Amino acid sequence: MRFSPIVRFLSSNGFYVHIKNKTPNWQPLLSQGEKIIGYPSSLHSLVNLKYLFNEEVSTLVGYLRKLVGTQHPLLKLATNMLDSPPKTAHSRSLLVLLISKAAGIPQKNYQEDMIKHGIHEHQRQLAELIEMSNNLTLARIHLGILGHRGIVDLKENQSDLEQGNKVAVLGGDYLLSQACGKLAEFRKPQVVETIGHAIADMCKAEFFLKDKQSLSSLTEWYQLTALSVANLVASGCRASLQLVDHSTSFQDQAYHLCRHIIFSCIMYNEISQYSSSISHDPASLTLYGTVSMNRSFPYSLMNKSTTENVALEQLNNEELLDHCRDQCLVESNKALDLLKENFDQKSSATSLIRSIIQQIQDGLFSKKVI
Amino acid sequence: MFTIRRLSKQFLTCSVISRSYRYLSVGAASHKTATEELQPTINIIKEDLQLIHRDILQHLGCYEQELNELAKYHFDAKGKLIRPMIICTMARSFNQQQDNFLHENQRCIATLGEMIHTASLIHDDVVDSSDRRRGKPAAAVQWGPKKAVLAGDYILGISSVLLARIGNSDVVSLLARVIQDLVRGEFMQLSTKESDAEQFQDYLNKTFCKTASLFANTCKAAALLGNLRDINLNQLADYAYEFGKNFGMAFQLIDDLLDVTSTDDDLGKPATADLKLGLSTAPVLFASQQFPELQTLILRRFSESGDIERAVELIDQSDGKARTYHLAQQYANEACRILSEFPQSSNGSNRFLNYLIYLTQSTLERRH
Repeated sequence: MRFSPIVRFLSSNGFYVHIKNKTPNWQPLLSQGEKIIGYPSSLHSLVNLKYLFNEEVSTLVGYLRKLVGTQHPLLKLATNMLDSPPKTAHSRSLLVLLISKAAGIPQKNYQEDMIKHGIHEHQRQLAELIEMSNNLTLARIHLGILGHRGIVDLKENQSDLEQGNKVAVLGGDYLLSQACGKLAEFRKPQVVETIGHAIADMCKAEFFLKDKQSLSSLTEWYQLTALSVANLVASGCRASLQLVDHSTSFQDQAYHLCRHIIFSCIMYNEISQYSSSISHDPASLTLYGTVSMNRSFPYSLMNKSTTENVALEQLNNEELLDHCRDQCLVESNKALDLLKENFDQKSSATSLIRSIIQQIQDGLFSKKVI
Repeated sequence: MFTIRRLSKQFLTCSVISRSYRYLSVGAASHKTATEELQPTINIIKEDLQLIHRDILQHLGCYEQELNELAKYHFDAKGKLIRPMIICTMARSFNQQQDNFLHENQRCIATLGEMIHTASLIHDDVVDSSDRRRGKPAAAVQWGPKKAVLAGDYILGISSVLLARIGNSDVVSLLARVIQDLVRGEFMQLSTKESDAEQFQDYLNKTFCKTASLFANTCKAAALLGNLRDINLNQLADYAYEFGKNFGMAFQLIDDLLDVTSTDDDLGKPATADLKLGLSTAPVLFASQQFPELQTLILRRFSESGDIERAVELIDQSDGKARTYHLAQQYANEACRILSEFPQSSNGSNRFLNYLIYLTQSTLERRH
């Protein structure tokens, strides 16, 4: 099954989207976004070409080749990474750069030659780095099959799996070491601190729920979503403002704006996932971005006793979903409020961010597909 | 022999260092005297290490119970803490110029050295599918590879936060270099070069990346953070780098030697682990110059049954171990020579420099 570029864009952006969800129509907004931040259209891969021509990467590719024909899930990841259209490539960085541009660059720090389309060269590099960190998460997600070590039946595949894990560790380590080098080049220790926190958070996500599989409250949903997705991109925004020496309070504002936007998007998509009948179609749930039902936003809002087994149909409940819509509205309004002050109101980036949020709110109210 | 003679000559010119150097170069009896004399210094460093151990556990603490446990798992009493030991002693030897005090930022570098090292060990164990580390099951065996690897990333994330708080961009670059080198080293281990000349150079590069770079760059960082006045700081930092590099090379060569001479119990991890991973280290590379049939085994990375046993047998018959030891000795001597370029302490005791010499020499004699 081929997914449209939009779906791939959103899913890789942490914007888990239901594939048959037609509203809001993101495509025009996204192409507009790319125009605003001035991304060179020739940049086709998320792994910038300069990272591809070295020994480490060719070794990795060699190992991946050996895995061809095996069942290792890492292959799917690699295919996704190499095969993805340019639109998917810069999805997270798009949000970081839009917020950076909306924040503007302080006059005292204005170096003409380093700034294009209202964005400092270092901010672009940082956004790329956030993209890289996202792939680090993906590489790590594909680890773990070796947990089955003791099982005799797996013996035959054992070496394939070990090879796959090797590549997953090394590939992730490679991305991490590249990020370290890049961060050091900025010569801004503050930025290193911000990203360090983000990486630590990303790792905590895996351990957050301990052994239990389900969320028990909305607070837990917020915490888990923050650790696994939102904090990384939001830290990217904070770091981006640090790079051009914005005030600490403005950095915080950008950080929270980004979090509210991401929370709203994910809430919106998870509501739509359970509100339409198509959610029974297993094919529609295969995107890696989709979370399992008992970790979803509507589930976290449900009144349930701990022993009860919740069926998929129970989430498709108007009363529950209305409750979800209210919460999503609160969330997106917080984003709109934060956007009103300090950000450059005349900037095209500010108005685009505003229309993205408004599209979500329109979608919530129209209930056409939701 | 020539190098050693040249080195002792140099040490004679600065009497205080050469004294303990002589102690160390003659047999076990005087070795004991040296240890006694050094005891107060050893105690100071021991206290530093205790603080570092406490700091590490404190920094890694988090609310996610399992991660909390896993991240701290390999930081128990079993670790040798050789990295922080060298860094603290190095830092204190500089500081004797001024205030005779270990600065908090320097202690932080020592802490980071151990944290980065341990994070890389956890990842190595997953890549190499090793089961044991520091006398207990590797983290990946206990928690599965995914969680173990994430814990390694977590330690690295926390390390970057600590590093950034020092607030020195040059130091950030040095430590970033360490991480890049560690990863590059891990990649270099995946392939074997075709010709034996290349193989040895490749081995030395790998050893630098995986071990010596950490010693070199952290020593340099500790020097830069010494806040030393009236001396050429950059030159001193370069000396610190060179010392760390040579010490690290000697340290790893001995490690590789022990891998083919020791038993599992001595090491806290399986012996001949390198050969089992298909890696050719100094002893087997030297041996292959005497027994060309080893080349075949090296190139197929000891993958066929009986390869490892045959390799061990040929290493035993060759002078591979002796030459490895000799090479380690040369690096250690060079490290000691560089120390003689360091400024003397203001009270003339040079106690930390002497301790560094002692540590360098005893690296050659360690059994685990």
